[in-house]
Amino acid sequence: MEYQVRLNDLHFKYPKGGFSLRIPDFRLKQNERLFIKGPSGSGKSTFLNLVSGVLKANSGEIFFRDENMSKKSSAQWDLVRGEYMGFIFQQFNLLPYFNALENVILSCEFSKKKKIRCLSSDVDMEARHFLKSLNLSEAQIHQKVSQLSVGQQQRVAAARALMGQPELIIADEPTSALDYDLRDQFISQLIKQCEISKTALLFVSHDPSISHHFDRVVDIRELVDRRSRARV
Amino acid sequence: MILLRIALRSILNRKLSSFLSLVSIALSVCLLLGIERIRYSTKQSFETTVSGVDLILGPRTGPLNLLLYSVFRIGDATNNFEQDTYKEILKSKSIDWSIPISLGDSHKGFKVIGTNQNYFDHYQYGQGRKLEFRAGQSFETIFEVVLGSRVARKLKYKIGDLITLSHGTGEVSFTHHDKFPFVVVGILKSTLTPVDDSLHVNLKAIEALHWDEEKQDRLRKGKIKGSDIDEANVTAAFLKLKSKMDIFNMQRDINNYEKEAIMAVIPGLTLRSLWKSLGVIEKSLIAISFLVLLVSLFSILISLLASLNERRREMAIIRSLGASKSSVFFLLIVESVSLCSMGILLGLGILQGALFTAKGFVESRIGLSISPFNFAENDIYFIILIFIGSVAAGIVPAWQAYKNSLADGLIVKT
Repeated sequence: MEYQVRLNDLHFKYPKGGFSLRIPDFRLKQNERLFIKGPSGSGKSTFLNLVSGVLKANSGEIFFRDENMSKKSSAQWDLVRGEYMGFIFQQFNLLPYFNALENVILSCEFSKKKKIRCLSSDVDMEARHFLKSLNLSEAQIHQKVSQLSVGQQQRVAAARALMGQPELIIADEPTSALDYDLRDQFISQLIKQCEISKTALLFVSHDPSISHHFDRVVDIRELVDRRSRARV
Repeated sequence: MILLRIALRSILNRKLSSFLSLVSIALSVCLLLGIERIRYSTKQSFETTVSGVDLILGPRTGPLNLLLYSVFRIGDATNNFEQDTYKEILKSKSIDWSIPISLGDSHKGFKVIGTNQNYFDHYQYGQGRKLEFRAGQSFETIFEVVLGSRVARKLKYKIGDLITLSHGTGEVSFTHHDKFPFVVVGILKSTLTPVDDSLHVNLKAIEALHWDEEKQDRLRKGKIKGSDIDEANVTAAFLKLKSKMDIFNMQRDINNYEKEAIMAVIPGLTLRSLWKSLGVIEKSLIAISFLVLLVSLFSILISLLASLNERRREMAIIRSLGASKSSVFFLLIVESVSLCSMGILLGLGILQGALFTAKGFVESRIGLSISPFNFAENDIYFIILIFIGSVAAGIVPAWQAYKNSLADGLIVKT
């Protein structure tokens, strides 16, 4: 397996009049840490929804782990997402009615494979391991997520994304809600954990100041050919 | 399973609105099943007030009227029929036993029944239970009275007390039979039927009550013997036939009796027509409780719908973890169903608790026996119906969440 993700001449058009976009060629190598920079409104969300299989392209090909996913059903995509991917969003990553530990374990409850791939003897231990290696204290682990700071919440989200050795982590502006000081710290911790578990990282942000952590940097505008009027 | 856990946590997270929906469901369950239970118990208690009677004999009147005043002591008897007629009817070979009753007198608002020993030997209520004495025994002389259990308790009478009866059945009566005191010789055990509210005296005593004072004086002084007194005219009589086959023949013979206008009714059939006439009230009560249920289901629908917008992120999170599009739909259904199930359980708990607490009170005050831990068939249907309703109430918000989730994908614009 050479590429984690490969898009080949992918066309997508929003059904009700919105914009359309084309991705001529995109490749993410296995184990690669890629930084995609781009302002908002450049088709970033659509791109991520396509890569994660939540949106379906009208034409073109999409490969995940060298497997052609273009014709796969959404149920098959759900399975792939659950088993091989982890996600970190900009903010509000956590279910407010579970504590930090429960939020992390949640990813293994939706996927048996992730549960099996846990290195520790049980899911609970594995979750604690990631939470601790992202500098969360024992007390914070059991706290309601609403009582955690934004930075702590983002680290809990990172721990959840890392659970069960996913092959790809998709991060959508995970640092934009963090203070400047915390950003570098967060990213270096995340990348360190990705290296340990050999996970590819697709990191999207409009903040170029953090791009130096990554193997490769791409501008979304070079990647995506976005046409017609902006999305309302 | 994980969906159920998420649903439960999410319900707990929205404590106030969940609690209110829960309570409204619980109340409608209470109302619906409570009305059903009371209806069932009332019917049961009506049906078991008298048992083992094949025909009720009385003067010609409405069948329902005859049944109501003879068995349930509701309303006043219109008139009596002659003792001779009664004796004539009793000559029939198909009659096993007969209990004559004579109504029209009262004591402090409780009805006085003139009857004979057959009443204590043959009267049955419930599933063929006979009357039993809590204290004392049946009357033997004209001046003795046997009290129903509630009469004795309410008026605090005991064996040996002297009481006077009055003419007419009102609580306040102007003609008191003052010169004619009765001694309490027996008190019956509680039956939860109108028997509890009655005083029982000899048919001859009823006759003697209506003599003039001079004649009553002579009776008291022993100048008139008990055996010389005629029995009073009869208001109604309970007949038991030797064979059920004869019921309709006997009824026809009585209805065709030429010398006096009398009739006979079959208690079971007449009761059934009584239920039919009460059916409208019953149905409107049930209709009201269904409306309450409908409102409760709407409150679930509204509370789920109102929470949806703030939960868009939540849906994206579980989708990013590999949950399918339909999981988002089912999560909301599971939430409304869990809320309803908890509401049903809470409602049942409240209802059982209330019935259990009220049981003693209702039995002693109203004379209605309610059985708390008795599931009627209808109850199960109602619960299933509420359950189906809860699924239906979940569908609108579930569909909305599903559509949101499709539009949002994983990246929700906040």
